[in-house]
Amino acid sequence: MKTTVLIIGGGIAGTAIARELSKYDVDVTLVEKEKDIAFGGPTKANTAIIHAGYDDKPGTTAAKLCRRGNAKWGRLSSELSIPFRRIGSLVIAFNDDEISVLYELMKRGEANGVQDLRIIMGRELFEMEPNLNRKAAAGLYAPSAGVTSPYEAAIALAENARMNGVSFLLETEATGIIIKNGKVKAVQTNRGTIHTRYIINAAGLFADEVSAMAGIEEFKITPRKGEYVIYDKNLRSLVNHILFPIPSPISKGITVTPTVDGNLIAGPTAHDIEDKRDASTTFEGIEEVLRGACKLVPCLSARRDAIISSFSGLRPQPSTGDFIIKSYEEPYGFINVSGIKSPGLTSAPAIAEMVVEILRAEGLRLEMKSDFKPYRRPIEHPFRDFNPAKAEALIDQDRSYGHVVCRCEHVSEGEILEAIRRGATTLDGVKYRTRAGMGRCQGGFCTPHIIKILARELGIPVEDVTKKGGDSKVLLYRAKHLLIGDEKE
Amino acid sequence: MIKRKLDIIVIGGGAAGLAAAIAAKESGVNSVLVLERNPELGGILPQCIHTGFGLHYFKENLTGPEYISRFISRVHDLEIEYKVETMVLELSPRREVWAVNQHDGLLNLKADAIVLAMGCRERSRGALCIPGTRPAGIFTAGTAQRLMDIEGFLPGRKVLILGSGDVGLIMARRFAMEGAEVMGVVEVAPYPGGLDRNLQCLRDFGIPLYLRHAATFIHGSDRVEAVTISRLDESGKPIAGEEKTIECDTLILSVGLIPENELSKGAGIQLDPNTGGPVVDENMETSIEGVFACGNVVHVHDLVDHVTQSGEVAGKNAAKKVLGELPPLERRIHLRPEGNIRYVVPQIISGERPLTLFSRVKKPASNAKIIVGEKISIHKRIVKPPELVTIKLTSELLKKLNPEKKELTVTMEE
Amino acid sequence: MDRETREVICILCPVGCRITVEIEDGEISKIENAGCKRGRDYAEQEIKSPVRDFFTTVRVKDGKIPVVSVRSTAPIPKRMLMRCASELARIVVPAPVRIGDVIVKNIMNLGVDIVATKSVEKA
Repeated sequence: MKTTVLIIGGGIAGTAIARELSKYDVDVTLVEKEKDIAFGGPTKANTAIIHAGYDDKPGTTAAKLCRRGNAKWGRLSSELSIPFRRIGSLVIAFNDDEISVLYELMKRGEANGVQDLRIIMGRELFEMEPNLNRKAAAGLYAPSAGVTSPYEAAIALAENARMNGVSFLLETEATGIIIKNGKVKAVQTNRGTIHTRYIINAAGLFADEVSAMAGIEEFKITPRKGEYVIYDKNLRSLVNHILFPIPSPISKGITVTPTVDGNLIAGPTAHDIEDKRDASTTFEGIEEVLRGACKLVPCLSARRDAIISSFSGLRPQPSTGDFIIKSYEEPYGFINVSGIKSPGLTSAPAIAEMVVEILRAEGLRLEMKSDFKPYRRPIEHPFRDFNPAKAEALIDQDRSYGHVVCRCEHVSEGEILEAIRRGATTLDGVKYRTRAGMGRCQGGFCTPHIIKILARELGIPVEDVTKKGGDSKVLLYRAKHLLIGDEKE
Repeated sequence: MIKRKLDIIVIGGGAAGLAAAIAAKESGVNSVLVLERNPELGGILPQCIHTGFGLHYFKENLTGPEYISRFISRVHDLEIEYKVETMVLELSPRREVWAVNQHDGLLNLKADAIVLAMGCRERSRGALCIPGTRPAGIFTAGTAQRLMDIEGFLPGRKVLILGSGDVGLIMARRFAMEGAEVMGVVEVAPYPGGLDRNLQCLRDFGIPLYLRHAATFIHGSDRVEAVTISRLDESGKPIAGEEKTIECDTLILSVGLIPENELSKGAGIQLDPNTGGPVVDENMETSIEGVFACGNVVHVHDLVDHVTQSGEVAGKNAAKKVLGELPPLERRIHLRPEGNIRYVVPQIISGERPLTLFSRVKKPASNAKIIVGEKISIHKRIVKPPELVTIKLTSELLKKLNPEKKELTVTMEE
Repeated sequence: MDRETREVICILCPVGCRITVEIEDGEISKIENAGCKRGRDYAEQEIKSPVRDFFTTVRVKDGKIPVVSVRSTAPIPKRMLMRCASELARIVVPAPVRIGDVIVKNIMNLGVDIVATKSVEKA
């Protein structure tokens, strides 16, 4: 196989780069080791915030790209129909020391070019957030902050990139890089060798390992675990903005945030661990999240019953402390897009543009396509914000929209079929594209239905349907299998 | 879009809903429509293939499918209209229902009376925040039961069960009977959560019961590989060093049922925080006039016989409402649970007619007296949290009530 | 002399008496803590020859659903539960199945039939 630019990693950075490159007349291939886009790690499990840009030190790559990226989300989300709401954020201070931190953050934000930052005190603060801890003294308000859905964003970027000619190879893991005469030649994968002139390393948690394959060992990636809890949509009106505590030296702290889908999310913790595959939650972690959440919004302490899920995500923390986005003299053609920790999601569209500039500087001729298609049609969700006229029109076109399969999020079979047409092959793939199984019953009702739909549409036995690829089979046997053994079924 | 006006809409075609629809039709109401989201009528019962149903109602020992088939036949005999695979999307306080199915498309329905019979849903792993990974192979007991006994699958071969409620115990036996290895049943409380008769499920198959234990970690990246359980101290905290890691490929959760009241909340119906269901009066009418509720949507029952009976009360009174024969209650006496009484249903009585109250206790007790108001005292030899306590208020007993009182406490003396 | 004490939890009513049964040389010598006569009888049967309701599923060919629930017409000896389950695991019945249909007559010569507890239409 042959390509011109090979992107390693189908997370938010990789897919944003793929989509940006798909505007140009160039042959691009993206490889992802997992079964689906955004399955890898950081992209599927983070706070889903589009940050305003006051956190990172002026002069860092992260600071620059965060503000630029933030500004691009409005257009990006409307072109690609990615759920996105600019709800604004508040950093909450509880005492004078913390208030002085707010002023520092504001100054830093202004140096980074963030506009409209404002410190809010007294009654106005509680008018904005009636359920905020009454002991709160002040808040740094950043109206440009927002919330999105990171996996939906990555999926949308990938869909649009594919529409514009990018090839996607899933379950394809880079295992080696071939360099000849100081130049990148090819990437070896579990599915064969792919010849390429340029390699973009957007391998997230594993970016240091991929980089080392190219002989560049100038940084290490440490997985920083962040645990979260999700609350029922019943609590959606409890909080209006993204609420942050005062940041710690390593993290922006445990936030309480309305999600773009109308739930509340609390988290993350920030603990460096060793195993890049250990996305487990812990008893202590969840307790820490709940303590943090209750400090900001005390009434949550009585609402443990409204928790519908908990999960953890790993941020790829680079040893350099900043994004590593650069090319090398040797091997020529290798470009790192590594250490894309927070605010990686915010920065992704700006990272993609930066990569285009780097490729140009490296001598790749990039000419705009005349037939670039910037828009992506969303999967219609007629019952999500129930709209009778829209629902009726869809059902008239396709009766399967009349069969509601997920009772909590009101997802119809039509939406699931559309998700499968767009590339979902697993329960999680359907879930990320439709929200089926993300509601309060967490798939209790819809899982049996969706397994059957997946098997039917993919033409595979029901026992081969997986949760997320690999060995994650859901139903191991047919009835009576263990009683009769392999005798006959 | 189909727009229709009906006399009565019953939301949910399980034991409660079918009983309500039958009672309503038998009371002389013509247009009754049952809406059910599953592909078949019967709610949970078609998958409850074990015996033990109908001992009170039919004085027979039936399986779930047999029990409910009698009601389904009656629905057919009475020509009661029903729609399956139909999801109710919204209920308005003005008794307007939005529903949808593949055949009809959108349905915009209105009725003089609505009967809520949506049943309950199972608490999930997420709600419990059980630490660990997120592999395949974790099912709620009811989902596993449906997969096994309707869809014909066996989810796994080495199974650990969390929660010793009835469904958990029954599923332990069911997995064992399918040849799976049941590694144990884990219960947080110091006593089993299910009925005594269902403990037999464990003893017959030598399945260990870990009381006062909790699952503290789920292992496995793709599929469940093991679950760590820990012994709990008196306060419910895991005791360090008292862990045990049990190898399994499947984890079944039977950790509580929650009345399914999203539609009720949407309509603004008043809920009782103690039951999780609507506040109902002795006619099973909710805080919205003309909206009735019955079965597990009101509170989680342990016997289907009682669910059926509550459906009949709701259906009969919904019919009376439609026919203009249901006068307002003479008095509305609110019952307030106290002490060891966790809840009482109905929450509002008139004190004029004899009735049976259903109650659940917080802790087991023996030789207890249930005190209603000040003067009514009913002896109970034994009460346990898993078993509903019935409180029969006869005409004789009701005479003892002070007619002036607007609120009565229901409490227990040991 | 061989002596053994066993506990039987009575399932006949919600009281759930923990009945203790003493067995000497295979014979019941004493039954204690039974709250009533029926409980005593139950405990005695549990020790001598326990029986259970039997129910499982049987595979269906070409049905709307792939299994039909079945039960025994009367309780069967407890020790026969798994043997009956294995016996039935080998069977596949063609749809349609009607509730009450006899699936296996006189299973394992126990004198009870296995009947369907629901109807399964043809797909």
